[in-house]
Amino acid sequence: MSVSDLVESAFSGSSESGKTFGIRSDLLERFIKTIRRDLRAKIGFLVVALFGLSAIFAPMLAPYDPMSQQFPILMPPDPLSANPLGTDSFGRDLLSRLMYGARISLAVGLGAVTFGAVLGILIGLFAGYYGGYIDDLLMRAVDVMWAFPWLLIAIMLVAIFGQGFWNVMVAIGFAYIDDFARLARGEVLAIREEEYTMAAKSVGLEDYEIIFEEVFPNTVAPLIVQFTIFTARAILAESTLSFLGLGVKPTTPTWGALLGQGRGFITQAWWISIIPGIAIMVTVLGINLFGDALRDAFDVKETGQT
Amino acid sequence: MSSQPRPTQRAGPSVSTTVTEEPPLLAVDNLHTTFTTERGDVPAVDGVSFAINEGEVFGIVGESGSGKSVTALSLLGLADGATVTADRLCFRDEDLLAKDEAALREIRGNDISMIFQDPMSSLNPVMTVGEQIAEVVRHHGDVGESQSLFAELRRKYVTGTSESSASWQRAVELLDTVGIPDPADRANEYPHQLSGGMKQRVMIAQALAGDPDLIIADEPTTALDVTIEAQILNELLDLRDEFGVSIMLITHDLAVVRETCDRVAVMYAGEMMETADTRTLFEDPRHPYTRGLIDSIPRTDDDREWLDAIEGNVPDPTAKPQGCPFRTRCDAAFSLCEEPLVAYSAEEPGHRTWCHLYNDAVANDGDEVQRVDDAEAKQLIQEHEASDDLVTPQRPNFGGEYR
Amino acid sequence: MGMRRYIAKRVAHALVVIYIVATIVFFAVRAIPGDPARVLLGGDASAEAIAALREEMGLTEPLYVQYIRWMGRILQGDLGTSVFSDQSVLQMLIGVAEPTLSIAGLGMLIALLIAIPAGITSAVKQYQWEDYVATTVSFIGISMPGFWIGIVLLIIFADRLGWVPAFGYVSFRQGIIPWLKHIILPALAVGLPYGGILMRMTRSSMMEVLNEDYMRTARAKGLDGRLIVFKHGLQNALIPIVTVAGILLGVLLGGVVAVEIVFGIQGLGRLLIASIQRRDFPAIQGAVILISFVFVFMNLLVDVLYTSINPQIKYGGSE
Repeated sequence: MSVSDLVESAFSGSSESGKTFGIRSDLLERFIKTIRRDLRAKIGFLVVALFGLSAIFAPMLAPYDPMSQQFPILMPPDPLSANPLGTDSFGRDLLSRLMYGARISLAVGLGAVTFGAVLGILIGLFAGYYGGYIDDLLMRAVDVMWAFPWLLIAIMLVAIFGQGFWNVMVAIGFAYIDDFARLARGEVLAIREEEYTMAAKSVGLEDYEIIFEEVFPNTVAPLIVQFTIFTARAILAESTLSFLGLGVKPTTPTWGALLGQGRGFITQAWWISIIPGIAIMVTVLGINLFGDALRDAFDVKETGQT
Repeated sequence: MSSQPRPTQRAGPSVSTTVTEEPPLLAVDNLHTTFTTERGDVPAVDGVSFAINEGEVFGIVGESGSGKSVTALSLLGLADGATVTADRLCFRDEDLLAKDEAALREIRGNDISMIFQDPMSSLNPVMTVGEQIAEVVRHHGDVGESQSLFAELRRKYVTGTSESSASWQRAVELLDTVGIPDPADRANEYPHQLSGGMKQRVMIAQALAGDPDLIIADEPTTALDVTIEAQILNELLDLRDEFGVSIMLITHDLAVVRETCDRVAVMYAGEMMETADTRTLFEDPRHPYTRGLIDSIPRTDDDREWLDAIEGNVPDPTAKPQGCPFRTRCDAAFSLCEEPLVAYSAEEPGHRTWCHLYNDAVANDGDEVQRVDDAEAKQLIQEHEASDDLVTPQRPNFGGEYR
Repeated sequence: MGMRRYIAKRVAHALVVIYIVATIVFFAVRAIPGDPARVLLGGDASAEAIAALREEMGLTEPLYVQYIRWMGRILQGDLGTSVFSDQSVLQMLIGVAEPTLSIAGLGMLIALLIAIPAGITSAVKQYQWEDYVATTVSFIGISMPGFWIGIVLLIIFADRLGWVPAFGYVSFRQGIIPWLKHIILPALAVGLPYGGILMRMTRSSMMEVLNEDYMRTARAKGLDGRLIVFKHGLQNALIPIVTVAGILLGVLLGGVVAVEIVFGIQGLGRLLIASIQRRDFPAIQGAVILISFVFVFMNLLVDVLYTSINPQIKYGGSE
C-alpha cells in the first residue's frame, strides 16, 4: 500500500450513495467538477464544438457552394481575399469545401464508432456474463479479427460492398468491434463476481435484466472514454480511406478526399493538402484532449488501444 | 523520483532535558507528518514522541489509519508528498531531518532498514531474490564490488550477478540465516516461485543485508497465515538476540505486541495515547482507549474484529476534533477533553498517558471523573505543554518467545 | 507452464489464425463484385471469350472445389498467378515486400527510440517541464494522420530543402545511404504516430510501476533514483509495453499503405489497392495473407520477447 493509498483509505468512510447511469452519484459529482476545472477538457470541448457547429450549419455558414468552380484555380490562402483558405485545382473555395467536408468526416467518424461500440459491447457483455463456450466462441472470433490490421478490414469491406457513406462507416466501425468487445468483457468479468450482481441473481432477476440493468451501467465509464478516443481514431481512419480513394465517394468533399486531391499539387499548391490536414489534426487533438480529461476524471487506466 | 524537501521546524523549549544516561538509538519528539491534498491538509502524524533503545523491540500499535505506517516512512524520508517536521528526529544523535536525500540513502538499508506488510508486492517480480539481497550487500559497501549505475545495470540486464561474488555469497548466507532451505538454489529463484512466508523471510534477509542497527517492520505478518505469523515473529526475535538489532514493530494486533515487544506506544488518529513497557501497559493500562483495546483481545479471532468493541469511527483526519481525538468515542470523556493533549507520567518510569483523566486536578476512579478543578487543571496543562520531556527509560529486554 | 510449451502453444495459435485468415480472405475476395474475366478482357469483349477465360481461370467450378484446390496449392507455397500481369503472385509479393518491410521496420525503430526514453523521462519527471513537452508532442503526434505527416515532411525536406528524394524507392543492395534517404521520410511518417501512442503507454506504465510497493522497497534499501528507475522499474514497465507494441503493429502496417501512395513507392500497400481496382483475385489474396502473416508473425515474436522479460512465464506460473 503506498502512502497515497493510506491517505486515501483514511478518507474513505462510508460513502454509499445513489447512482446515476450506474455511476455512483458522488463519483459523478466529482467527475463533473474535475471536468469543469480541467483545461484539456475545456480546450477539447471548445474545439469539438467549433468544428461540430460549423459542420452542422455548413449550408448557412459556408461562403460558397463547395462544388462550384467559380474562382481562379490554385489561389494561395489570403485571409483578406474572397477565398481566405485559397482555391483548389478546379477553382473551388477551400474554406467552403472544408466546412462541408467536416460534415462527412465527423459523421462517418461518430457513426463508425457507434456501430463498433454497439456490436462490440453486446458481444462483450454476453461473452463476459455467460462465460463458458459462448465466451470462448465469441472471443476466438474476436481474436481472429485481431490478426487483420484495421485498414485491411476496411479496404476489403469497401471493396466488397462498394463505396458510400454507410458502407464506409461500417467498414471503419467493423475494426472497432473487437476492441469494444474486449473492454466490455473485461469489465463484466470484474463486475460479475461483485455483490450486487450476486444479489440481483439471488432475487431472481432474468439474465438480460441483470446484464442491462446491473452489469452494463457499471461498465459505462471506461466505455465512454474508449468511445471518445476511438471517435478521434475513426476520423483519422476516414481520412486515410478517402485519401486512398476508398472513401465515401471520390467527388464528395471530405477532409481526407480534399487532402488526396491536393497530393498531385504538392509542389505548386501545398495548401490544398496541408489545410485539410490541419483541420483533421486540430479536431482529433480536441477530441483526444477531451478523452484524456475524461479518462483522468473517471480514473480509467490507459491501455494500448488508444 | 524527486525527493520532497523536508522543512525542518524547530519550535518550543529545548529538547534534550532527557533523563537517560545513554542516548537512545532513535529519538522522535513531536513528529508531524502532513499531507496536502485537495480536501485540505491531512495531519497523518500529529505530534508523536517516542524513543527506541539499542537491542529493543518497540511496538507501535493502532488501528489502520492511525498514522503508524506513515510514522515509519517519515523517519526515512519516504513519506512522499508530505511535510515532515519534528522538534527532534535523531538516529544516534544524528539529525535525520537535516539530512539531504543523498545522506538519507546512506542511512536507508545500512543503518535503518524496513520490512513491509505485503511480501508479494514488496519484492521485485523480475529480479531473483538473491540479487535483491546482494544489491543491498553491495550498497552496504564492504565487499569491494562496483555499485555504479553502469555496473549494476550490466549485472541486471547482461551478465547477471556472479554466483562466486562476495555479495551473492553473502546473500545466500543471509537466506540461510533466516531459515530458508537450499539457500543456494533459492537465491536464483524469482519471488513468484516462493511461498508467502518464504517471501517475508527474503524481505527479512534483505533488511539484514546492510547490517542495520534498526529494522522497522511494518505489519510484517498481516498478509500471512497465522501459522506462518508465529514463525516470522520468532525469526525477528531471534535476530534481535543474535545481532543485537533494534526492531520497531508496527502492528494493529495487541496480542502480537504482548508476546514480542519490550515497550509499546499506542497510537490513535496520528497521535500518541499511551506508552509504557509492555508488562506495565497490560497490567496497568491507563488510557481508556488502551483499555478498550486490551478488553477486546480475548474476542480476537480475526483481523479487525476487536475494533468493534470500541464504538464509533476514527475521525476524518481533515476534521479532527480539537483536543483529544478519541474523546468522541470515549466513555470517560469530560470537560477537559477539548484542551490540548499533554502527557502525564505514571509511577512506572516511561509510562506516559495522553489523557486528562490523569491531571492532578482531576479526581477519578479509573473509569469516570469524580471532581475537576478546572482552573487548576488548565494551569497544569499549560505547564506540561511548556516542558514536554522526552523520557527514555533503560529496561532489560524481556526476551520472550511468541507462541 | 514452461517457456517452451508456452512458445509452442503460441506458434500453434498463430498457425490456426493464419489458416482462418486465409479462408476468410478466399471467400471475401470472391464476394467482391465484378467479374475478373470481364475486367481483364475489357468492357467490349464477347460473352464467349469471357466464358472461355472463366473456364480457364477455374471460376466455373463450385466454390468449395476452388477453395480446396487453392488451399492445396498454398500448402505447396504456390499463391497462384496474377490475372493481370501473368506473374507468379509470390514473385510479385517478394518484389514489393522489401520496401514495405523497410519502411515498417525503420518506422518501428524510430518509434521505439523516441517513445521509450521520452515515456520514462515523462513518468519520472511527472508534472515538470520535461513531462509537459513530451506529452504535448506525443499528443500532437497521435492526432495526425501518418500520410499527412508524410506530405508535410515531403514538402519541407524533399521539395523545399531538397535533402532527400521525394519519390520512389532504392533497394539497400544499391547502397545503405541511398536506401535510407528514400525511406527515412516514409518511416518517420509511419513511426511518429506509433511513437506517440507508445510514449503515452510507456509513461502510464512507468508511472504505475513507480507507485508499486517494490519500488518503495528499493528506496528503503537506500538505492539512488536512477538505479531504482532503470534496474528495478524499467523491465517491469516494459512488460505491458511489449504486448501493446505488438497490437500497434496493425496501426503501423495500415499506415504504411497510405504512406506508400504519398511517396510513390511500389510496395505492398500500392499493390493491394491496385489489385482491388483490377479485381486481381490471386494478387489480393496473396497481399492480404502476406500482411496478416507479417502481423501474426511479429506478434509471435513479441510473445517470445514477452516471455523472456517476464519471469512469471519463463519459470512457471505463480502459485
